[in-house]
Amino acid sequence: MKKDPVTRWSEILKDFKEDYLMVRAWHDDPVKNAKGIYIGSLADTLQGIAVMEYILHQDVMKFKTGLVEATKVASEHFTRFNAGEPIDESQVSMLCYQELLDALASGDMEVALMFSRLMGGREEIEREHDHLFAIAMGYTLKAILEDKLGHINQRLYQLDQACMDREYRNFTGYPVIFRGIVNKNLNKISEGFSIILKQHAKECKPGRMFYGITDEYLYTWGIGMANLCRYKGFDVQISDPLIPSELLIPVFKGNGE
Amino acid sequence: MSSRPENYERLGGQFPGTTVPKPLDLDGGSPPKTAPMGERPKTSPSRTVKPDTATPRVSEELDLGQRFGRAAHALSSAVSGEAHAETDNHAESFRVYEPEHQRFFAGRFLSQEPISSSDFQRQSAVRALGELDGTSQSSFGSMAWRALNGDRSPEVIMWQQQNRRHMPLLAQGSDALNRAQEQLRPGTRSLGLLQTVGGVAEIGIGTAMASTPLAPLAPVVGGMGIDNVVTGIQTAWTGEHHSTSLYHVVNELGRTTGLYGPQGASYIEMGLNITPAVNPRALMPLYNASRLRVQEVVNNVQLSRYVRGNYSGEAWSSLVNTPPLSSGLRQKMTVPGAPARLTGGVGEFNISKLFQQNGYTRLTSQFAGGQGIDGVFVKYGSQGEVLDVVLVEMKASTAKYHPVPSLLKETLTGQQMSTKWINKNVKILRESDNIQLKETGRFLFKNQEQALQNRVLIFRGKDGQLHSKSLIDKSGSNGRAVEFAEKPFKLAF
Repeated sequence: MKKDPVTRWSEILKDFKEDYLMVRAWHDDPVKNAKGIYIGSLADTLQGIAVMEYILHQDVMKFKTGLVEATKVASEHFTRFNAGEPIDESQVSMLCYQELLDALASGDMEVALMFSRLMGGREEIEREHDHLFAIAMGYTLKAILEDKLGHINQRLYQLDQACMDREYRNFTGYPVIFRGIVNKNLNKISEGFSIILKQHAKECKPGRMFYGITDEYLYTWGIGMANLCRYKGFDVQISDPLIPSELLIPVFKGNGE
Repeated sequence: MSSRPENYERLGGQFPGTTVPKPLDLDGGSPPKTAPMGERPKTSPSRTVKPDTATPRVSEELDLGQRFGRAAHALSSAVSGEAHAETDNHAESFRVYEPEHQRFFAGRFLSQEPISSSDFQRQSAVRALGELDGTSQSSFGSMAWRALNGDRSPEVIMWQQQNRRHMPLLAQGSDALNRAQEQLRPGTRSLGLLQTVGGVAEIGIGTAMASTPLAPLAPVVGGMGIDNVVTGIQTAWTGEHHSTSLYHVVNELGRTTGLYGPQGASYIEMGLNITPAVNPRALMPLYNASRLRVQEVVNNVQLSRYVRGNYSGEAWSSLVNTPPLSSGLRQKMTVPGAPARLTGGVGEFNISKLFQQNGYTRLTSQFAGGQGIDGVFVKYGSQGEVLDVVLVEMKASTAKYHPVPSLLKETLTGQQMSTKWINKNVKILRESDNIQLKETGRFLFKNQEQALQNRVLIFRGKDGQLHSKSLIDKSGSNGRAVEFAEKPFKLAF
């Protein structure tokens, strides 16, 4: 018999908190963590706790601080890899766009920018580890966040191409939002959000990306995208419990129209 | 003693024992004309049978048991070809003949014509009579099972008749039931409607079970209900009999294993449908036992269907004549053109068996639809400590067309078997509401150092055989090479 969501997530949160103490100790042990294998698991645990704290207790502060801390821990992959330490190559691939979206969801744009600047520029690794979708998504997010739109159209074209892949068919809303930001078109952005929310529901079905995990209750990527839009000065309004308005940052007045 | 029988003239002027019963007539055929009681027939033992044209056969179907009363004694006659010392029964070329039959003055044959019948040879006669004599090795259960499966071999028929003699009340009851069935047999459409109603009831039972400790069975029972409803509606609509999917599966299993036939499948299906209403708990052990095997069976059945649909004659014969499962894997993995999901599934289960044979325990690690880590194998020490953890990705795709690294897909959670992909999958497992998946996630989380060091890809090589490859990082620092040769087991493909 299925547990009710509150009981289920309460138990999982309790497990994650227990795991956190353990993995934090391993992570902080320079010998045990010499190869950086506990960086990813600590970051994942922190991210999980942050999201579950919001789902169960609507704790905005824990959500934001948890995601910020998770992003900072995840950034160790890059700093240690850049320092020549034996960090797994897959940890510094462009798949880190997912961590960047979490960072954006935290609302701390400085941390998001810090993480974004660490991403990219490792073509060989990206070729070996990343799908075209991850490459296009990562570089597009990075370009928009850092306001470096030189090759943005090429990346958006790549993203369109990648979304033709069957596995990525439910992510076609992202290029719509990105184009809305690039073209400064709020209507297009709103249209993009309605698409990603519909497609998110499809991705929450059995066998799909977000099935059975916290994203069924809280669309962290969507929150990240909304914060990105607001950071870029677009007053995007979303009335969906998956993207609660209390988690969105105020519209930044220095950009956009 | 050599005088003509009293009824010699009436019987057409022939000597006793000259009547040929109709071929395959196990009812004994026409009463042969014999010598008077106790008198040996004068015909040659080698060939006494001549066509009987004189009298029509008198048939009484239900008294065979009575007629077979001395059949056991007739065995010795059958084998020796001489009259039995006590009963004076005779046999001709293993054809059993009883001269002192109670009902027929002239006596009668107990077995069918040995020359014209190919399925009643010496061996079966001996077996059949051994059955009557209680000397057969066949148990009541096995004979009943054969009978229920529609086996009409002589020994089964004789066994049934023997039962009739010993259990007349039961026989009468059975006859009455059969007659009632014949008389009351409803039309096909009515049966379809009845099946639909039964199916609806099953769905109701399944729904009710959902809130009980038998909840795991609820989808099974509900599924059987839906199956019955759909099939029932089909039958009622078309007026032609349709079989349920459950029947097809059970029948296919019987056909593949050779354990039972279509009739047996029908009985099993009926039993499975009735059990939830009578005692749902009885299904639980069956469910538990079959749970882990279902995918394997489904894969094998699907593969078998594929092969049968695409091969014929010698090609089919060479494919199905596969010896045991271990080498069957090789055969199945190399069925040309078979869909990868089938060969993959078959290969996966065989590889799983291989690990298990070598002391590894497989943890549940795949979600519905096959997502997740293909194989998580753990070896525990005597104190329950973790000695080894191996993560396995299994590919049925051939390396003939793809270089090995490209067999690993770049998914939304990263390239399969990469550290990042494993991290993300472990997190998904930890968040699962399935207790087994969650436990696997937490196990891998706690033992990630070992798990990340043992990553193996098993794939079909250019030669069509299975190969294994250790997956370690380029730096070589995050993993150690795992070769099966270094392990206490070998992949002998």
